[in-house]
Amino acid sequence: MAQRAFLSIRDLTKSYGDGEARTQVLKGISTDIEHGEICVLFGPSGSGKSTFLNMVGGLEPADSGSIYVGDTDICQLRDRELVEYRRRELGFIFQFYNLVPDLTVRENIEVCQYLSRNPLPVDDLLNSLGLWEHRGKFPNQISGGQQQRCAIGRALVKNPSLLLCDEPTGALDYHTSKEILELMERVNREYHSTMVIVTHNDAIRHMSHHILRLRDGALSEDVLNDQLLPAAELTW
Amino acid sequence: MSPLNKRLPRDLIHNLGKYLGIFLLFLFAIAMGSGYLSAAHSIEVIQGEMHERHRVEDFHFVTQFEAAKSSLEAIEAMGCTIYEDFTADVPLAFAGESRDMNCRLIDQDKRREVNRGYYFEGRAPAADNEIALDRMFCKNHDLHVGATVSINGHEATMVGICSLSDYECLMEKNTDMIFNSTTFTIGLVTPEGMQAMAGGKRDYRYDGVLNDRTMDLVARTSFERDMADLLADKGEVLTDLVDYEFDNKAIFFATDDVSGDQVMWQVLVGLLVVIMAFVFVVLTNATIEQESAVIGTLLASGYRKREIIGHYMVLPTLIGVLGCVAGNALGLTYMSTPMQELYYGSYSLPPYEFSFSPQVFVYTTVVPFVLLEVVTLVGLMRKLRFTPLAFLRREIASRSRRNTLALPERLSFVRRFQLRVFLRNLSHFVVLFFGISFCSLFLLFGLCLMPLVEHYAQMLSQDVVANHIYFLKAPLELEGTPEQRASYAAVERLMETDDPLSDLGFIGYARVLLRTMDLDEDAHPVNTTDNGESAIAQAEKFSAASFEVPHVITDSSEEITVYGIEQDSRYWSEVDVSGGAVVVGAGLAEKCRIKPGDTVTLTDKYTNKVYELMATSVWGSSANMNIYMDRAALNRMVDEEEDNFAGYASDEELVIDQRYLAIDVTPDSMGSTADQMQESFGDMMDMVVAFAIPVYLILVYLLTKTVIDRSSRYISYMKVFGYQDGEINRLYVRAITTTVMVSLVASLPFVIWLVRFFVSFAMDRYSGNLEIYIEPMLLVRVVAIGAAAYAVVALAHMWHIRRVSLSEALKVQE
Ligand SMILES: Nc1ncnc2c1ncn2[C@@H]1O[C@H](COP(=O)(O)OP(=O)(O)OP(=O)(O)O)[C@@H](O)[C@H]1O
Ligand SMILES: [Mg+2]
Repeated sequence: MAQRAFLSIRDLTKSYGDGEARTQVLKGISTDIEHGEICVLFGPSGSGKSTFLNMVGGLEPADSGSIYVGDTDICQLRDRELVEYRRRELGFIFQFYNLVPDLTVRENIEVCQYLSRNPLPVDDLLNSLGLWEHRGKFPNQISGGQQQRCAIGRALVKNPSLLLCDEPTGALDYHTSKEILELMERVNREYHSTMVIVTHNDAIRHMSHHILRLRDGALSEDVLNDQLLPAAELTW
Repeated sequence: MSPLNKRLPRDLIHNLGKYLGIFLLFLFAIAMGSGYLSAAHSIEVIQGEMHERHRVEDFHFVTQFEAAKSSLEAIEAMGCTIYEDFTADVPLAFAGESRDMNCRLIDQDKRREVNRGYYFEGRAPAADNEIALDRMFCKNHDLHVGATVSINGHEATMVGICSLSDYECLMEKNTDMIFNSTTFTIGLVTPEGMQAMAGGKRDYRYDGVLNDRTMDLVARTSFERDMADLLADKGEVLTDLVDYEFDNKAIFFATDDVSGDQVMWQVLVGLLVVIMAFVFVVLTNATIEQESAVIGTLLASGYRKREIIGHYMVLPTLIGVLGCVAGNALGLTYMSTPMQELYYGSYSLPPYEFSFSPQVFVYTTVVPFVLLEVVTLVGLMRKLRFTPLAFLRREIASRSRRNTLALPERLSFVRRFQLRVFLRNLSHFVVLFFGISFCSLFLLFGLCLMPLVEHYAQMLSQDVVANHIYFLKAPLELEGTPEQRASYAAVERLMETDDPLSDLGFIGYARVLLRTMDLDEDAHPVNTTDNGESAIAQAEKFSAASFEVPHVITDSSEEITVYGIEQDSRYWSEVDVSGGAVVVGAGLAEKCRIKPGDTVTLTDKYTNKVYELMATSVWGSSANMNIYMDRAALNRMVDEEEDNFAGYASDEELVIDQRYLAIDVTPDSMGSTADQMQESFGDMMDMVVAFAIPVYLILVYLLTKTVIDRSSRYISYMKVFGYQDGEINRLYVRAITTTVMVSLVASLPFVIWLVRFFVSFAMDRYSGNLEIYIEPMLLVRVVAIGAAAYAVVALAHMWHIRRVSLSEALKVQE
């Protein structure tokens, strides 16, 4: 058997509800995402993008199928092992930043540094996130973009092998969004972390190695992109 | 240490109200609970040691006249030691006090082997014009060593402040409802002092100590009955026989009081702890709900549930520990004295010594603390069963249909909004209802007792049908010829003099003796003073006998008096005892559940004879514990001569020979019962009210604050939309206000029911029937105090709402 990809998903299905109200959200998804790839996931609203991402993150159980991360099928893990999986491997970034309101920027990042055995140095991260002068402020004292950068810092500090981002720029303006994207590109380059980004922003496809599109519960597009554009050159 | 913990101090400051509330709740519950129960426990230990340490009697009896040596030797042969302990009740007076006061003179030499006393100040009397008085009495009258008092008209110096181990409380008579340390005291004197101050007047009391002091109550009372039989056989007439534990209230009233109060406090502390547990549940749930997004993110980031639980446990635990430590510190130091005073302010107890009670510590400290921990832990674990996603989506607030209930459109928007606030916070409001009920219970309980006692005293004096009811030790005729009076005066003189021959001289003695020769041995003695024809005519004889009537609920019994009265009595004019009718006092009827037509079982505790009477009607006030029947019929029933009598009812004051007079009951003397109860309960009830109000404030604050807190985001939105603070108050605070007010009023029936239960429980050890009547005014007061306390809380909420910032809604996307 050939060497498996870093993230290998097979025949993944998911439905919600029972009887009449039952909706099949994912109808058998299979794809392979290689180590170090930036993978972008498109799809209309309600197509199951978040559901997919949450399943990869071990937040939501699959109905059937498998999600191999490295050599482990996380669909087979028990709750306790899922916690360890998230702790070791994952970084999460949400559309709403979900920062702890009564911790400073720095402390919010430290919350996740604490979880990792080989975390990144927080000072470096603060610098490269452009948050150095804001490190002592509380979330309600900084802008949305800064909050999102903080949330990214929190996800990155663990030095995760897999970064899951659900509409990371969804709440941000053009410039800020671009800054965030550049940041993510740099992180990917420097730390070789694999990223799955859910977004409605079509332009992001140009900076991604791998493009997926969900439609009616199936992947309508699953292509690799070899003509990468730097994030700084994206326009939309 | 988890970096999360850095937020703890900020959380503490941010939610200062909440944590301060929990802290104060602990502080109050423990300071009061532990303070009271520790003091009570220590006092119980002191009381428990008294029997041995001060050689308290096992029983005592009083004979009508001095008992013969042979009689005493006969009962000592049964297995006990009898100590002669003659006392004399004499009037006491001192500057600045106009009430009639009674001092029971006790010969200190008779108290060396039995019922020993102890001094708090001063020394024992050494001369015949020196006296030592009881500590409580001195305290109530601000009497100090060196004071001059008049005892039976003799001037004496008070040289010591003491207490007697058999007068732990100053109970004048065993049938009194309550002790009396304002117009009654014991006075220790030398034998010479006794003679000088009391003259020939004596109550022939004998104290008994069993050879086997371990004898249990049943064995002891049966011993005492045998003894009474033997004394009767020997021709002695017992006027009193008192077992120290079974019916000596002077000894046991205080002990019963302490143990009864303890049960009550334990129940109240227990209730408070349960309420606290509910408060913790509500607070924990509210916290988790508010922290939902944070928890979701942490879980998604790989935090273990254990770590999150640990994080959320830190502050409650810390607050709990602090509260426990501070509560105990306060309870055992600052509160200790007022708690002791609850008893030392009423009873003549030996000096206080603290004894640690592990049970009290567990009950007041460990249990609430463990409860806080367990409730918080279980609450967290239950909530953390939800998936991380549920937290991220804020789905953890229990979703029930009431949140999505369709409200009729015809209600105004404001009404619907308020209803939504109500429905959304229903679980808080349910706990709030019970919290409010609990505090109202406390308040009402604290407030109702005093009026109850006043009411009771009023009832008691209502039943005193004449201005004076004179009880006699033996029948004494008011009517008589001057010759008869002279003869009896001669007898009195003989009785009063120890050595008549030398005191009166030969001639005088012979004259006195000659006078006594005229006496008719079978007739009743005649009063030596002629009270005048009209006074004698309006006085009316009655006979009386005491019996035990069994209680309904417990197997204890009530000591009651059966009056034998004249048919067509001028004083008991409403009581018809013709044709063998038996009239039962309304209080007795209520307490012992006697209805007309029922058979009342009366037991004579001295002879153990049982009598059965058929109740024909009920009369009198709710405090009336007597039974009335025809005088001749009563005399026949108890095997007395038909014309026997126990005293006189009289509207006019009579002069009656001291040696025959037992007591003069007046309507006013009943008032002192109320005074005493007020003095005894007053502090306790103030304590209860002082406890209720802060607990009330804290509970209401904590429970309503969560409602505001969980809505603070929406409040912020409303401000953004352009709502004025006042309008927001109307939407949120008004909903809370309505709930609080409705709870206050709606809980009243429940509260009244509980208060009745508690009062009857608290009153169980008192003889007599205390009618539980709660004035409507009191309810108004409870609601008013509740409303006033809530007003403070509502102001805090309004201030809080004003402080909710606009940016809260807009800035942080939790
Ligand atoms: N817990 C749930 N219970 C029932 N249905 C759900 C649940 N979560 C998601 N769904 C349904 O599954 C479908 C996919 O939802 P999902 O959140 O994955 O969409 P999405 O692609 O992320 O949409 P968007 O771009 O708007 O965020 C939707 O139709 C949604 O209604
Ligand atoms: Mg989505």
